[in-house]
Amino acid sequence: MTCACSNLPKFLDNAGNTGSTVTGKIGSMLLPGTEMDGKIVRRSVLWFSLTGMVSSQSEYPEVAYLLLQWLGSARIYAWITANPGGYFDPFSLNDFADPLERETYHAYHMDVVRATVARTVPSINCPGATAFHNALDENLMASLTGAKTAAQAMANTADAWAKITRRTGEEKIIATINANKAAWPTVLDPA
Amino acid sequence: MRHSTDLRNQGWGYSNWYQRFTSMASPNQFLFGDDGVPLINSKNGLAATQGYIDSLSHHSPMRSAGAGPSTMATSRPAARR
Repeated sequence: MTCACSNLPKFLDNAGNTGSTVTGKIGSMLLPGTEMDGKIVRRSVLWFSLTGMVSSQSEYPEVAYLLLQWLGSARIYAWITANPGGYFDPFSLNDFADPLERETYHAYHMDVVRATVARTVPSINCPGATAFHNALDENLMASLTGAKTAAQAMANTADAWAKITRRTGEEKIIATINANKAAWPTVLDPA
Repeated sequence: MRHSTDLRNQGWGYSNWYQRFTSMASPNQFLFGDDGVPLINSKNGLAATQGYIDSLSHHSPMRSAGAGPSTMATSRPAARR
């Protein structure tokens, strides 16, 4: 079992992936969760990815914007994404239903990704996000190697997060945290 | 037989911890309180981390630190800039 990026079946469960022992043997499923009050809470995490932007110093900002708008439009984005060598990944309802994308990413996988999106929380998405992630990352690594206990890792991460919040600006962080709450899911599964 | 290969190395593994932690309350275990105070130094934070550590005994050998699988090579912005 693994938890991987959504393009794993596209590139590994692929007739062109010759010599691999996993081709034809991959399945997708909802992630495990925690059982509470007769329900299962399953939560994945949305990782904010690369974003196209128009430079304020661009000589032709309108043209650049229109290009991005065209690239992000339903039909063109689906066509680029479905390309076997393409790298953009499906993320919208249009993508999950697109016949070409369902072919290259596999229909069995697209249905699970669509269900996973409904159970996905936003990752930290505020000023200082990288610093928050790095503090957690370093403390988790220390706990995995035995340099810290789980309790020490959490206490030290919480201290670091509090410092990052103060440094970045509490009002700014609190406003972002509470705005992001609207994006947290409420879907629960039967136990 | 139980085995997993989800990433545990530096730069990648913590994304799997987030999934453990945020699923430990219904409907969600938030990372921060409404007042901006981190909620990870708690019973659920400890449980998520201890489970993360304990499950290493079911994990396949890991790649070198900093490496992600080739299918992920450009899918995440540089988290460790």
